[in-house]
Amino acid sequence: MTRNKVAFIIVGWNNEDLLNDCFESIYAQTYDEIDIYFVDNNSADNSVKHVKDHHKNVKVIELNKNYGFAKGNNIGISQALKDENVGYVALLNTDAIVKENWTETLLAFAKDKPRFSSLQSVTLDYYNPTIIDSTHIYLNHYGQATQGSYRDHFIGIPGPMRVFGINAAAGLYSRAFIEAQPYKNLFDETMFMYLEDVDVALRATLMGWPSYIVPNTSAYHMGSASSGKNPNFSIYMTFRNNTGLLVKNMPFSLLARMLPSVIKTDYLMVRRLKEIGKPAAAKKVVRGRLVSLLYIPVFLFKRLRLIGKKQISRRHLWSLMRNGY
Amino acid sequence: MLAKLLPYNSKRRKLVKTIARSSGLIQTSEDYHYNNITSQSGGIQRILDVEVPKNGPLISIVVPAYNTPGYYLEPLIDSVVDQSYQNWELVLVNSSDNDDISKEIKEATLVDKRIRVISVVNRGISSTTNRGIDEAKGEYIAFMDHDDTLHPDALAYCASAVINDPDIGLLYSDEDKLSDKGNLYLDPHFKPDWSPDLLNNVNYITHFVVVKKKLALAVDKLDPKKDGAQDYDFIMKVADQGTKITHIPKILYHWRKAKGSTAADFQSKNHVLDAGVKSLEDHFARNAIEVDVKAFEGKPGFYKVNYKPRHAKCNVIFMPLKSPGEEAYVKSIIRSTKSQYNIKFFVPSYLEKKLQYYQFKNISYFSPNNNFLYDISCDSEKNGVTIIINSVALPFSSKWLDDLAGYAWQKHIVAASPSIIGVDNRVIDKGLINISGQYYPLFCGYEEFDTSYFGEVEWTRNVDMLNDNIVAIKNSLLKASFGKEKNIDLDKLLQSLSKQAGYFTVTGHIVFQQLMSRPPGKGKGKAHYNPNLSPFGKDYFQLNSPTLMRTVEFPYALKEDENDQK
Repeated sequence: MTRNKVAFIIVGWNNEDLLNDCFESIYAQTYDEIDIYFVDNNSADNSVKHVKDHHKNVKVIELNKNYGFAKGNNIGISQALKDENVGYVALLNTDAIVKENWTETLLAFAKDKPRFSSLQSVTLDYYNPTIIDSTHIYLNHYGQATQGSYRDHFIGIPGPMRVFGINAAAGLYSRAFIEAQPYKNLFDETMFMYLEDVDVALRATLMGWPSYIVPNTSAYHMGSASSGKNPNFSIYMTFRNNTGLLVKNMPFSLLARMLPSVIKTDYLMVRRLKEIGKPAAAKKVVRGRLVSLLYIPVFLFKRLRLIGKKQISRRHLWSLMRNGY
Repeated sequence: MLAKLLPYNSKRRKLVKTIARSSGLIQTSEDYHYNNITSQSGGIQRILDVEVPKNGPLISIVVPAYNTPGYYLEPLIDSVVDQSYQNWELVLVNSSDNDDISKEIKEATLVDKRIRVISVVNRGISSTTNRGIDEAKGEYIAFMDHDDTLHPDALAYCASAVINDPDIGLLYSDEDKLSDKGNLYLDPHFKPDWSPDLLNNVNYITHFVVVKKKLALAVDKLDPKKDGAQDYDFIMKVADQGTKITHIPKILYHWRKAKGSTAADFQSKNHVLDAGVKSLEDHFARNAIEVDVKAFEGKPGFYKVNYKPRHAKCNVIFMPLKSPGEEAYVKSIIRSTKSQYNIKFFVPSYLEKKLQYYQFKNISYFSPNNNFLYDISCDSEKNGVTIIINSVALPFSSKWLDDLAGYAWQKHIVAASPSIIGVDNRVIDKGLINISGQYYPLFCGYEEFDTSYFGEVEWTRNVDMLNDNIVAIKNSLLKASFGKEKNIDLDKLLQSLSKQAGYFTVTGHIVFQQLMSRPPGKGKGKAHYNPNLSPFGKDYFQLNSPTLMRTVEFPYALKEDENDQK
């Protein structure tokens, strides 16, 4: 059966001031069949009340605790997929808006693809739309998660490209992929926030479900509005989740190839942060890595479910990790 | 590598590197420079010279897949799905005998609805590809090998060329090589525009070939008897139909150097030689030309074409050079030349005294006044060839005259010239090429058996203009080029010949060695060169090909001393 509806899922925590722009960009979409879900991670401000008063068509899910970006999205997705007509799930950050033809262009591209995991358009910087925030997301040969073409000038993308994975700031996931997961939920809840979209991207690539970037449309992203007030937290979470992500998904031979570079990169990062006068951040890097080593058994246990699901050759995966495309 | 610990450019370091290279420990490429440029540019964001056409013809890509492992097939499928021109279809013809691999190949249909997989029994690559051509629904057919990749804008360039000119029957583009692991781009091959004499020498059009489907069916597709050179045969069959052939001077195809295929290892493919010779013989038989085709021993893929003598008489004119030792040089050519023709040698009269001792029979003397060329050409027969020698050069082979006259006698050739090398084995004359209005000498300064981004130096090529050293012309054309003026020298003669319809050819296997130097001719032309390369010895290429604009100078591969500073 053809499922044409798109469910937009927005997870918010203490950013009431950004919600209006976000919702209005979704109302302006040229595509008709859209549902909007708003998941609130126990905000301290009046986000929920604001939404219930001014945006009546949005379905609100209130949570009693800050479960994080991953679990908030999972709850929203499971709620959205209860509707049988929903075929695609679009994730949008509160600090991101999309162009009017975003949904229409992505769905026109998706109709030729029986098996795709996710799509994104080029995500530009909100404040300067000639600069790219991300075209895609990938894990490079050093084990670092990278946003593709970050802070490059936007020249134009002539055609679609298969990429390693997409940025969950403004991206579309297909229902077929979510239902074909070996796990119950799309995102890994042990990763509170940061790098859970890289985990999904790596899992999708391994299972043989490609991701694409689609031309002729765009989204605009501010970048780290929720945790911008606390940058050390983001560094800590990045390094805490990085080891788990690698251990959970990567084939062991590639992991062995990457391991010396990972250690070397960590050491150079710590040394660099101390040189430029940020010892607190350097401490967070070290602490994140050490804590992640404690989490290794948890992620190794999760690896068991991926056995037998890997459909991509290791050489092709390694070549995709070179540039992300 | 351990060589990095040794001092830079020292003998020990070079020794370690040569050992590692010869034993196969490291993947050698002198093109790290080329790879740096190509890997940085050409990706998600890239600049195109043309607009991606929105409503164009359907292009079918036919790929014969025989036991294709996943790490070759997946990049191929990705590169086709990533095309900026979206009106394509991919036909994978699966002739594998391994069931696991067949299962993997069939999963390609899940990636995109425009991909189809057909299973056939393996009866050779030609029959497999022919099944794919039958099943293709597109107006144009593109051929790919099962382990190669396309540039993401390849079909956009082809489609826009075809939309601008629907008469085009065959399109080809430049290519480069991809390392087996897929991480390095190596050895680009920039090709000239349509050059029939080069095609008779070597299959320079290998990839990326796009053909109209009607033409492919009219030509009876690929010939199974010529497996190994089936694409060479196909291109010549299509060209013999008389269609328009264009060249896209962009690198659109990456030919993978897979271990065990022809790109890497030629020694085991002897049947390729016979197939190539057969396809050339068929090509000449179709055009009713008598030839002698031979393959080079120990050098597969290259063929020597000697046209058999058909015409009656041959005139050899020695231009009055007034150089010291001229009589010795004229005498040695007259004595050593063996030919089936009836030759007449025309020698300037001031040499009569010195040459009369030898009592040559077929010689006649002319006075070197202003009109001697006109007078000689008036008296010459219609069915003849004139060879004008305007430089002090000696031939390597005594049968040079038959071969050169045979080339000049062909209908599609206006004038032919041998290649001239110097006493130090460096090229002096291989024709002139027209680059934005000015003529430059081709391969001047290269060594005789050198390779470059434009192919090898020793190939037989079609050029835009010949140097006025040694020229062979048909007598009818010679007479026609004298208009009202009787006073014409060789330069003006060549310029008037360039207005005729036909090609200038410089042969690779007929070689002269020049004993005394003359400066190369200049002239004021068609691009038998590639717009990406510069005229002189350095392979200076401007990447206006499907990537960002950047000009790069690649160091010319001279032997460097250790004392040279960098």
